[in-house]
Amino acid sequence: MGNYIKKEYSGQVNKTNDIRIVEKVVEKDVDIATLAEAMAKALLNHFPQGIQGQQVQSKGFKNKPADDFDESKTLEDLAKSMLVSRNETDCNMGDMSKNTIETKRDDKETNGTIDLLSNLDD
Amino acid sequence: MGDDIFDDDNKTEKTVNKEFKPGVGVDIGTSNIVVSRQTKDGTFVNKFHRNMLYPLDVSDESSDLLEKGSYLYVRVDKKYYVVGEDALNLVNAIGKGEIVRPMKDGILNPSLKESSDLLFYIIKAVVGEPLIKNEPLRFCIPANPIDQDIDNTFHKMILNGFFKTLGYEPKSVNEGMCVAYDCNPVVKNDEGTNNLSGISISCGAGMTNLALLYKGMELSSFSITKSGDYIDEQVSKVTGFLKSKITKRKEKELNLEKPNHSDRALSALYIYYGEYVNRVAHLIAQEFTKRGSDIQGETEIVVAGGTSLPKGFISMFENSIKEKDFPFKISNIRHSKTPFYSVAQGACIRAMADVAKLEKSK
Repeated sequence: MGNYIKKEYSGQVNKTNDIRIVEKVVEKDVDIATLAEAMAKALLNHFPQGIQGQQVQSKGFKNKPADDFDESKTLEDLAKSMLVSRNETDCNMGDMSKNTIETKRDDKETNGTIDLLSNLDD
Repeated sequence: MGDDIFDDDNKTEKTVNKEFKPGVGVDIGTSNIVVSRQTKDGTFVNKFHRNMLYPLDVSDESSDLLEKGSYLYVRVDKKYYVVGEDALNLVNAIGKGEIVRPMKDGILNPSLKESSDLLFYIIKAVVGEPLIKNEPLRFCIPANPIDQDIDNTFHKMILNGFFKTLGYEPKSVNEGMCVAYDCNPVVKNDEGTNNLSGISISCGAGMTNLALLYKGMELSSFSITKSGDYIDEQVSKVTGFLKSKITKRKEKELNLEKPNHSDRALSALYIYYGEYVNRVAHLIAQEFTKRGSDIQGETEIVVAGGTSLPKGFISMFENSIKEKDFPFKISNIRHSKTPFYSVAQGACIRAMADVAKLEKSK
């Protein structure tokens, strides 16, 4: 719980529009946790929902752990540790090129797609 | 799947020593690994390999068998793992044991402790050396599923490490989007026909991946588990046949236009395919509605992936889609011309776009 701070500023933005922002201490208790959750939910709804790994709808904000420590370095180190190199005598991978199929596509369409994608970010 | 791989109308004769353009696409699927490159004359060359293993205890007998049979294998500690198509052939010939997979549900199989080790060897053999230093490579990654708590982050990092070790400049790409890059779905509206817009679906062995896109931009994506492997597992359970036998029969004999109810395995496969198609159609409609997805105009759906290969699959899927309520209008459903290679080819196109971008920035 905490106090809601209301700020008041005034000033002219341009010749026709005045902007007024009010700031003053209001004598009313506000549940900050509820407010934060409502804001987070509102913000999350504005993010594109197709991003990999988001899954915001199925996980629920309340269950999100408070620990915001960046674990990516640990995951990166773990991933590196999984790369092993074996002696060639430990495997026989032979000639993999025997399983090969060739296909033809419309060159114009392929080049159009490459051109479009080369102008887009990931 | 299986022999159907060789039935594509678009396939051409094998050529040797063609010159390739830089940029490689890799589809690391639960069931198969496909690597795609484009030659300078515009042909796509796809190499594929079964992502399957058959474990054998190390002994004089097994060493002899591997040597005489010229099987492809990797040895890890006290086990030989026969890899690829040989694994499937061997388990069916011996009639005992079961295939193990380095991957499950679209990501590294957590129940197989050697999975990353084994997968690296398979990938190394199929992908080969980069053409140029730090050659751009795109590998597909499933979107996180809506029906299971699976996170693909670690899987993505491991694969990234694999490809970096091999000398590539790797980046992941969404599997559903790869199908779109290969098949070019369209949305028709007041603006006209918009390319790279609509819904693209990859029906894989571990997962079904979907993407909604507009003018090449991904708007939404997700995946659904219980895909091709699940069908085989269920049929194996109800009929008592080995899963590997069911997989082979599915690939060689299943025809969804003509259900064969006199054959227990084929009949069960037909029934479980019906369930799969209905589940996917139901969950897609539900998820897009829940997400408030909206597309102005008539939206095309393009479908690819090994699980979509049986004859009659698209009309079965079409019938199911028609019964569901979507938040936008579906114009038609189109099957990829090369369903088994679409993801890898789409990833290759994305990698070639990375090359083009690099050239533009020079």
